[in-house]
Amino acid sequence: MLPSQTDPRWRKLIDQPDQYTYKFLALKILMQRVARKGGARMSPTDRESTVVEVFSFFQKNQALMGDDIAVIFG
Amino acid sequence: MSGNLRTVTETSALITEGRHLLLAGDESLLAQLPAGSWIGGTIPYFMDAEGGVVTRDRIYVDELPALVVDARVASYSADELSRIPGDGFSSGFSVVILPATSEAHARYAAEAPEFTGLFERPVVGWVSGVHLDDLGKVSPKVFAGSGGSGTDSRAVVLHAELPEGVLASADIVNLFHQGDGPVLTFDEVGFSQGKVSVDGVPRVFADYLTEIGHDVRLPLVADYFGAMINVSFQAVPDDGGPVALYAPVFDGIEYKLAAPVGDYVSEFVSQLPSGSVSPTFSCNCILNFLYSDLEGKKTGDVQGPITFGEVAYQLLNQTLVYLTIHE
Repeated sequence: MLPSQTDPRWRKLIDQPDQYTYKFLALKILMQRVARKGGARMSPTDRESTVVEVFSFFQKNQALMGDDIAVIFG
Repeated sequence: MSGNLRTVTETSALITEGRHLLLAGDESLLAQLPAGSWIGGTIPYFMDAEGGVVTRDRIYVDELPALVVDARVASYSADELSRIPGDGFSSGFSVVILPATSEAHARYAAEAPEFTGLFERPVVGWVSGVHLDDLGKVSPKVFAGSGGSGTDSRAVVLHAELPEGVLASADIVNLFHQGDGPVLTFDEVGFSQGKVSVDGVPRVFADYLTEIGHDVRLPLVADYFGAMINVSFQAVPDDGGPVALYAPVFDGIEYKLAAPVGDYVSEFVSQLPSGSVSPTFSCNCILNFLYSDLEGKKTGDVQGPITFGEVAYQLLNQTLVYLTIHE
């Protein structure tokens, strides 16, 4: 079960993409994109749109991402 | 694995039956095919059931499984590439083929990592090429659903739809990992790099590689949170000119030169997906084929075209890419 989009853990994930080790290939590449965009240094607008993108990605792929979801959200 | 090498007649019959196909073969063969739900790219190198094969006489056919409920074939100019993610089905995957050395190839390589919606569904694919004897004489082509659609300038894509609840995933097998040398960074995105920062010290890239005696069969490797992403060397000039690469490097990403690989075939087989995984599509890099002398050798049960570049969301080098559908 994913936390809601307003859960602060999504912002934490965006701000510090290097805090976890990921297993799902698409997530690894997506988080590299997040890191290259600046992580916590992103503008508030970019940060919010990135949260929407990452949340949508997790929603679509959660059936394949059990290990990553367990690590990130417990 | 559903793919194998077939004649034009056999492939045409599958197209006429309405199958959704991913094709690879010689231009003269693909140009004979009827209209239908297929995309194709030129290449004469394949990994078939018997091992590495070089042939201009047959077409490599990947037939998408019956649970693919619909498919759309499209082609995109270099300026239209950013539309690819948005044109896909809400549930499914997309397979892209880019003609090597085209503007579409270069622009996809440089720009795809920033495409909006790129991660909405798996995007896999490859870069079409030619027989190495024809380099510089014949341009690589791609085809979008008919024998008359061959082009050397546009990207072609097959967008496939999967039923609700059925997911696809893209994965890679990469034998290379970062060596223990210095961190290499670049100031600009590009396939050609004159300068490099070596642990923060500016250097002429070609001079640096020559000075350390680097084996150019070993690519640059970036660590994308555990995914090793290669950028392969095309040419290192003796005169200190720009180093040519088979994919762009990006500013803001740290690279290292790859550590040497032992026996390619045995190491490759050890990293292949387990027996429970049956890829719907896969491709492997021509540089792996050449550097590891794979003609006549098998690399496990994974089959497909041997390509001038691979796509798993973004352009990759010296990497095997495969797509799996999870029922």
